Amino acid sequence: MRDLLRRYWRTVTRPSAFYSLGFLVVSGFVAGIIFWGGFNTAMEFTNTEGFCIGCHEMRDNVYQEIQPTIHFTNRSGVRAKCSDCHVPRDWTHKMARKMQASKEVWGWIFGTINTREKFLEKRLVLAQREWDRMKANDSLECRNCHEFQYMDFTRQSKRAAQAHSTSLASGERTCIDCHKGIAHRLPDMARQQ
Amino acid sequence: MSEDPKQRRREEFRSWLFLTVIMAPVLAVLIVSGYGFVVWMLQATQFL
Repeated sequence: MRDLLRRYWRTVTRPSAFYSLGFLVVSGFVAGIIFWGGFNTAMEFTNTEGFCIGCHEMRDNVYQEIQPTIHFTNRSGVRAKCSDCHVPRDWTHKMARKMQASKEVWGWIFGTINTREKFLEKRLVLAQREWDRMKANDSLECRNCHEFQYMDFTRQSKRAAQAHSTSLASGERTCIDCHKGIAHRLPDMARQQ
Repeated sequence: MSEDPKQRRREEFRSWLFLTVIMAPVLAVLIVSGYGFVVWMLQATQFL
């Protein structure tokens, strides 16, 4: 075994006798392109709704709840899918979010919320985690579509215009501070600390 | 060490295959996921 490793180490650390430099560089380049394409395709696949609701925890709970809301059913047919609100779009934060999702895979394997009762039990914790995340990134995912700069206060209700032109404009509040439970039902907030 | 051209050719081909098909992709995935974890940990310290 040691001998084998030593032999191959020697093979990879000295110039090739049978493969030209051109072939090695080009093949590495092409393999890199194929890999990156595959990597991004796989990454995009984990952003699809089909992937998210592939497990019943998501399909039977949160996916049912979003359907009657304005973010899913509306007159113009524009709608948000899971990743629009739950995965940041820029690369660094997307990778970080994907790694956080490894914890969700863990929960899926060990059935952390695999019954309705367990889900309801855990719901406040899960929601709080998502609220904290959006509070910390200044509701980044909301702002992918809703840009403050283009809000027409005259077309908002009086109360909304009042809140948006003061607290939101000054940055004192962010979207999620008020807009909780808009796409899924609120947890039992009485249990919040 | 004896140098059999046939064997050397085979070893070079296998090395090339291993490096391009297994090592580079695995390394890339590890580096990217490691980076993701680091960013997550930095965020986690900010939340507290």
